[in-house]
Amino acid sequence: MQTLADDEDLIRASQNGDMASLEILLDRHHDRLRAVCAKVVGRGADADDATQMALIAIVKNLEKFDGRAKFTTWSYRIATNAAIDELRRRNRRSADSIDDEEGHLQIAAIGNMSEAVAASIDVNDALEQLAEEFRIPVILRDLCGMDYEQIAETLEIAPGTVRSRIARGRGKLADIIGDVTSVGNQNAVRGVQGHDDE
Amino acid sequence: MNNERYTDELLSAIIDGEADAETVASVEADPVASERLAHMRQGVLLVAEPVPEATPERRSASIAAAMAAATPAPEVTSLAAARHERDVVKRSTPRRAWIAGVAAVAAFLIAIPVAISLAGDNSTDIVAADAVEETSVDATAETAGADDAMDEASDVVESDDSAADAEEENFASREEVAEAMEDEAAVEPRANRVNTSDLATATTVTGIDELIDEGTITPKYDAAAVVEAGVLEACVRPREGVTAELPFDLVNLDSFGGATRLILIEFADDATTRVLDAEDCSALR
Repeated sequence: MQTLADDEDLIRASQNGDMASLEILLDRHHDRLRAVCAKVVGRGADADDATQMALIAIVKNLEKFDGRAKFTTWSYRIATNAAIDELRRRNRRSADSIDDEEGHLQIAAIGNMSEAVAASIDVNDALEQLAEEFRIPVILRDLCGMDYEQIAETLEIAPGTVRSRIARGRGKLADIIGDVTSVGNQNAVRGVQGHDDE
Repeated sequence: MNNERYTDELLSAIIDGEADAETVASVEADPVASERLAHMRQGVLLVAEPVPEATPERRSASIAAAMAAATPAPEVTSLAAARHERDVVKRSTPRRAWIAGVAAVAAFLIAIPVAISLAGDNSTDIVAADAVEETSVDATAETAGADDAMDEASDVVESDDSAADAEEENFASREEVAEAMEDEAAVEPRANRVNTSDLATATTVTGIDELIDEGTITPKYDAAAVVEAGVLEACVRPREGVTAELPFDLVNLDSFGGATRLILIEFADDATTRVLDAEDCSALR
């Protein structure tokens, strides 16, 4: 039975110039890192660009990786930074674009969605309503499963701040979901009343 | 929304499994707090929802780009250094021309008396003149031959400088651009030149017009010819505080120390680019 090399072996080999190991390492972590990028930047193409930049940054900094942090934590930090860079670049690019305006309109329209639409609430739209400082800790916690210490290390903020930001971020998401649900319920009630009136 | 008694921080702690059973029971007994907790839990599920996967092509491209960044960047020869090297070659080649010149003068000195002795009449001047003309032509030819040899000898260096030479030319058609590229491709690869043709950095070309407009990229060829030929050779000047406008910038500028680089970008039909070559072009700017 073939044994898959663990990350540590792959990292060590990559640091020694073994390109095959590096490729395996990148391939192994691509999807995980892309998931973070996708949640942070929201859109597919931008997520791919951010992922690519994250992978490049990982490769370039791998030599400096000393194993004190877990590779997953370390690479999440890089992916998060790459995604934030991509997000800022995109915001700069499309500050006045119609596309962006449409995006905001879509987000604003969430509050008027029917229950059926609410059931399929777009996570990207919801996350876009969170300020970056709340969104990223929430993603690192609830998507990546990182603990508060790791998130604090990744974002270079105090664990207490992480805790508070996650709570506020989750609270904001709860507001969005609550709004959608309540509008959906009202529509459902109106629908029933309208039906009764007929 | 924050209940005075059941704050979002407390509810968040429940989600993380950090609250004691008594607190959890108390929250669940409160309809408002328990609804809020339910919404928070839904939010957590929403965030944890898997994202659609990247297409296999895009996935491979990202990994390939990262692998390219891992390729050790060979030492880059600056054009200034290449020019210096060429000058050294050129300085050495006049020796050949000088030898050819001496040979031509010797031939001339021999030819005149021979012509005079053969003619011995009024036609002497004409024959001598012909001889002079002929030897001059020969000497010119030989000098030209020496120049050819010089050119041949300095081909490697010349090709390093071909970007600068080409820049002075006006490539107006696809054929001319393609020909120029073929000429460059025909040159043997040089160990001291960055060749990133195997790096295959596929990237979306969005923003390239802006980069050209703002002067970050200076296209080397006429835009129409570039589009026709599907190639663009450009100087990329990194700006202060900008590490990457496009992934290929990131690859090149970071890998090669942030200097101004000459890059060759291939535009593919699928709206991707491929960085084909890179070298220092600081001397051009």
